[in-house]
Amino acid sequence: MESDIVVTDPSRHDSSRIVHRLQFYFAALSCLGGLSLASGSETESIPVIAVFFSVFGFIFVDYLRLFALPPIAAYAAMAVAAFYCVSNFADLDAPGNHQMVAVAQLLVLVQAILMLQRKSRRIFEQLGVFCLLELVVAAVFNNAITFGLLLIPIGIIGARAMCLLASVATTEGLQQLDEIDSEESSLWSRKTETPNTITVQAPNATRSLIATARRLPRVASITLTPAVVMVSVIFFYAIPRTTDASRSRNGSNALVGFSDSMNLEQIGQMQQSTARAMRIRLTNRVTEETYRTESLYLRGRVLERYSARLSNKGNSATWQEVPADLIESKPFLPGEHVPIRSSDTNFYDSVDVSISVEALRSNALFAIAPYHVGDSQGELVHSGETWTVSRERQSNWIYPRKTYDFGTNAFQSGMQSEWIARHVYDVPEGVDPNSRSQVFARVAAEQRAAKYDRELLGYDIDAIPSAKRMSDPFTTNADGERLSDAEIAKSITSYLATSPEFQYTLNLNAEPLPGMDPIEQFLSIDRKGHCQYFASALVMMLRSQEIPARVVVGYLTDEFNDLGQYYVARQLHAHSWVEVLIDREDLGVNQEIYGQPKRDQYWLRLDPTPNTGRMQGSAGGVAPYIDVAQTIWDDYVVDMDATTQQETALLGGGMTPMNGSYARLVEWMSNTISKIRAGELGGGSLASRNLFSWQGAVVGCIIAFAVVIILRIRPPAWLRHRFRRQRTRVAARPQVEFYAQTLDQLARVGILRAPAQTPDELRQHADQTLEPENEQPLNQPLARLTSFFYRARFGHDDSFDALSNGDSSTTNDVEAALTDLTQRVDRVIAQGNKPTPKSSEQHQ
Amino acid sequence: MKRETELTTPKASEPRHKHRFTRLGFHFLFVGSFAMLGGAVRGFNLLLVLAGLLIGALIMQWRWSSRSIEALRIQRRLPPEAFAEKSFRVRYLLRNHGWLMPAWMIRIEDKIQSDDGEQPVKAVCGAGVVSAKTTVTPDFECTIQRRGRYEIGPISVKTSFPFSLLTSLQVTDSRETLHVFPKLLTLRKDWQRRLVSQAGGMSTTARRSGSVEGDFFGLREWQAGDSPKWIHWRTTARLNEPAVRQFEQQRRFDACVLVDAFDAGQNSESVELAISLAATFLVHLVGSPSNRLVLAVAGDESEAVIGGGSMEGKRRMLKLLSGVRPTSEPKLADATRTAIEMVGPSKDLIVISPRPFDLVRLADPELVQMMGPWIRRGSFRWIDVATEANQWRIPERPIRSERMERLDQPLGPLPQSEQAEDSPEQVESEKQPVEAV
Repeated sequence: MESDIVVTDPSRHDSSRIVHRLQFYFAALSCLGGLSLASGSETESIPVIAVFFSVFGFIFVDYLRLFALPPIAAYAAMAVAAFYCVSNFADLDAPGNHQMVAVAQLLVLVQAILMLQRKSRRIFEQLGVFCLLELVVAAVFNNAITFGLLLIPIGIIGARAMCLLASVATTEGLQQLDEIDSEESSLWSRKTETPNTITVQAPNATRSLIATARRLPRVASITLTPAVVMVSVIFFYAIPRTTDASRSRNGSNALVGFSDSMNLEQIGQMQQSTARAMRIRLTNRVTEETYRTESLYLRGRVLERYSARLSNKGNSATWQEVPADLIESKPFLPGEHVPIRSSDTNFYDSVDVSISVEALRSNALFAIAPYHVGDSQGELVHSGETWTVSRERQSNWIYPRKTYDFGTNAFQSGMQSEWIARHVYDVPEGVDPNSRSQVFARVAAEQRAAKYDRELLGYDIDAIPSAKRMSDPFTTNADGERLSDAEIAKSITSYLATSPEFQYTLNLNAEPLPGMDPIEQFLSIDRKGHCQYFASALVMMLRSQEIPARVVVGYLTDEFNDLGQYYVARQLHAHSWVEVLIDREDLGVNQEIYGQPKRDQYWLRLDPTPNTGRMQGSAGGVAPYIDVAQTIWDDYVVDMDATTQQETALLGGGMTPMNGSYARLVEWMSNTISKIRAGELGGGSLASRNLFSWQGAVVGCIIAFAVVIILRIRPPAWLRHRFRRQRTRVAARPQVEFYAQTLDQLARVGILRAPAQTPDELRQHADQTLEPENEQPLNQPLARLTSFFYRARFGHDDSFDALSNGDSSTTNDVEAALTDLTQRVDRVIAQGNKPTPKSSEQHQ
Repeated sequence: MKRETELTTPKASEPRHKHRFTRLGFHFLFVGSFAMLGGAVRGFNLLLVLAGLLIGALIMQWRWSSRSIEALRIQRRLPPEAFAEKSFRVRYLLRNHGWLMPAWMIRIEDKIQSDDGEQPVKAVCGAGVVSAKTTVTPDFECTIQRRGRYEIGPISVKTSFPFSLLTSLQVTDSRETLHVFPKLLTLRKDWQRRLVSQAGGMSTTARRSGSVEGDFFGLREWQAGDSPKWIHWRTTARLNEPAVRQFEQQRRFDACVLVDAFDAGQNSESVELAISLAATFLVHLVGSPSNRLVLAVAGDESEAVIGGGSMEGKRRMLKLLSGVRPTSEPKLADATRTAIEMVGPSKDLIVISPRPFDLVRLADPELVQMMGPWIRRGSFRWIDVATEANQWRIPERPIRSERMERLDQPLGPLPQSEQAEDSPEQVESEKQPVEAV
């Protein structure tokens, strides 16, 4: 019957939608996975590859079905990608964490190839696993909050995708989703089609499954996502921390903006990075409220030595620190200055400072001088002469994220004092200052200070004549009297900062003049540059006037995060300024510097950079929120360690006995891993190029055994066969004594009784085994013995008892037969044609 | 005698539960443990976050899938009879005993294995969702091309919902034997008359029983041509209209159907045709309680079975036919003897064979001797299906291949008529026996 009504199969429609959804989800996953790898400058290409290929693959391969990479081409392409990335990996001389980058590249490239293939269930799974691996790699070298933010969509899409995969697995073999279900795309598994005698169809079940599968992801994401998140949160916070949180030890993420020296070069346009360098929390010690200030100078390094390299290609100059032996360093911060007059406290504010600094490639930390010891003890190195704080110097190139705090009296009414008392050698408490050692120490300190003072005056008038020429007018007043050092310094500073001749610019594109010192060129020709040029020029101008001066590099920020109540210093807040050493006499009689001990000399901070150059970094809009999120992310996720765990007491902090054993386990694992890395496993037997280590072998065997047990791998057929044969080959010894002896005799010629072999079968077997080539047949006595055994074992008469008692005539017959058998066996053996032992089982 | 479990309720054995990692699950486990190790030993907190998510997903998967699979109970319902080349439906009763949690994406796998050691086939069906405290009846349609004994079971119910990381499996060890009866043929309309009238003097085969007209069946209005003998006068008087008695014209068959399962290895199609023809005859004839039929089969073994006009008798005969194993030397005489021993000599002997009688006569003189009485009586009928099959059945139209071609076209909407043809009822009605006896 013909019908005009056209009915489309709704389940077929649904199934194609499911396929499209799966394709979309996995394209999105590979895209997001690639994005999570985006961090730092070395890895820029990775997310680009990932995004391009996932979009391209989804549109052209999955949606439009224009083409697809055949499996063989895909394997070849993967091999090429692997080769390319491994060659990168092996290049040990390359800078940076290129190994991680190589791994990331490999992942992304293989994923791209997968995206170009026709999708089957296996390919989808592979895409998912690659996304997971990308997340692992990203977790190792990307700490930014973007990772956390990306985890959300990846988690949601991943859950939905896996849900759909589950439904595909359920409908496997039910035809509708065979398009992606079949795994025939593999090169080797070509099925041969044989007509089946049994065909099964389940259209109703398929419809039901497909219809459910469509609404499944929603159900799963609503009900299960909270559960999964909860489990993972509990897991994350409950697992006891035994090591410090490692923040990018291999650190592509470390700030590159701060270094221990300062280079003056014409490098073109400078990029302004908004990456956060540190977070500063100021608390008024009295009111315990957040302390607000106009701007914050955070000193990192003090540079005294200037050296220029002049060449035809280009000139550069460097500011560096003086050698470490010129500066006295102590592994603790100075104590707090207590004023003699208590009224002095009215003229300064006691502020507690807590700074969280990001990972750096320098051991420098940042401080507000003058500082004194705060809550956190230790781990800070205080350099007296320069008033800088640093960490212990390590062999490592990367210094991880760190939070430290100290106190300072440098603020008054929201203003940071520009004066810092010069450090002097102080006698430790309880030591006689006139003792011999103290006198020597003091003399050494004075000599060091004198050397240091000379460094502060290093100036080459031939190289930078303009400094002298331009600063000369500022040394005298209208009457021709020389001004005080402080006055000269201040007037030169204001000249540089305010004169329209000098311009602040980040575009360092001046044509370098051969043989000309960069500072000279700045002062005399270009007259434009950034803070480093202004600071360098000011130092040289002051030194040309015999005023000791030095460059300070650090950060200058005024960005306050209202939400988090802290200051933020970003990369673009990096700054350099000048400090000049002023004698106390020059201060004037009435000028008092509060909160600091009285000294003969003071450092005066001068900032010659024009105000226009001050970066207004505080972005509006969502920036504060992102910053707070980043803070929470850093504090509660990235930097979660034992201390934080205990402080916050979030979940099961504190060391319970279980935690203790866990800690020991982790410590053991960590030690073992480092031993393996050092090749010292097995008591150093590996290290000494001894290829066998019995400990290693034992561990290997245990692991292999455990794997077999866990995975319940069946032993191979030959092994099982052997086990069975060994276990079951020989029958138990019969209780009837004479038959046991008979078996012993037979065993001498290699005939063994198998279990479940009746005596009669054994006899036949013996006949067949020995008869053809033997003139001394065993069958006669054996037949008799067998029949005796049957009678003894199963007979109704008392033969059995009689035999065991040994007082019957049958006993004689049995003994005769046994002797006969023994003799014949002896002869067989003597003839030397002992047959090859055959298993009686084979015979059976 | 083989133990028959067909149609008995499967013994309720406690199902076994297993949980297995899927391929993706193993990957998850591996990456998760790596992340955990790295996170714990090296202090990478983000790896721990990742590990937490992976472990969370694994735990949820484990709890969810194991809980939903443990709450399920399944029972199989086999059809009462199944014929070769005709699709039949196997149903399941899938009950969710859970209080709250629905079970999603349930896959049911059942193993169908033929007696002759062929590769087992996995029958798959499933249910999208089974709400708490409800029962659903998923089913699948199965077509088996060859008659025979098939073992069905054990049933495995599995789910990998929600994340396909673990497959939770419930194996219910319910095994049943399904006898797939020989394929039924569509007989020509006059088959019964031919069976009766041919081979000289077969009128005895269809002996009228009861009164001359047959058994009294009912009353109806008089129609032109009705014999006045049949008028039921009392009713006619009451209705004031002539009414006649109706008779059920019953023919009582008293015959022995002997199937010669001869297969020298080159023409198995003919043997199957013979068996099918025998099955078709029996299906039509055994239904009537007044017929007495004996089925004797000469194959690998010679057996005979009596059909007493009951459903059970019919099934017994079909079961015997479904298990016939052809041989190159069928013992026809033995089979006949067994039949005679069972019920005594029947009135007629119908032999359905893939070879002509003359061949057999030459090969087996004993048989001729044994069949002598029937031959002499003229109540002997030898049907050689190799030559005369088409006189009995209507050959099948080659519709199947056509339909398959059309089904192969992807995504094409099916006309409704085609869909309707899929329904088993339709197929059944096509093959309905043509004439009620």
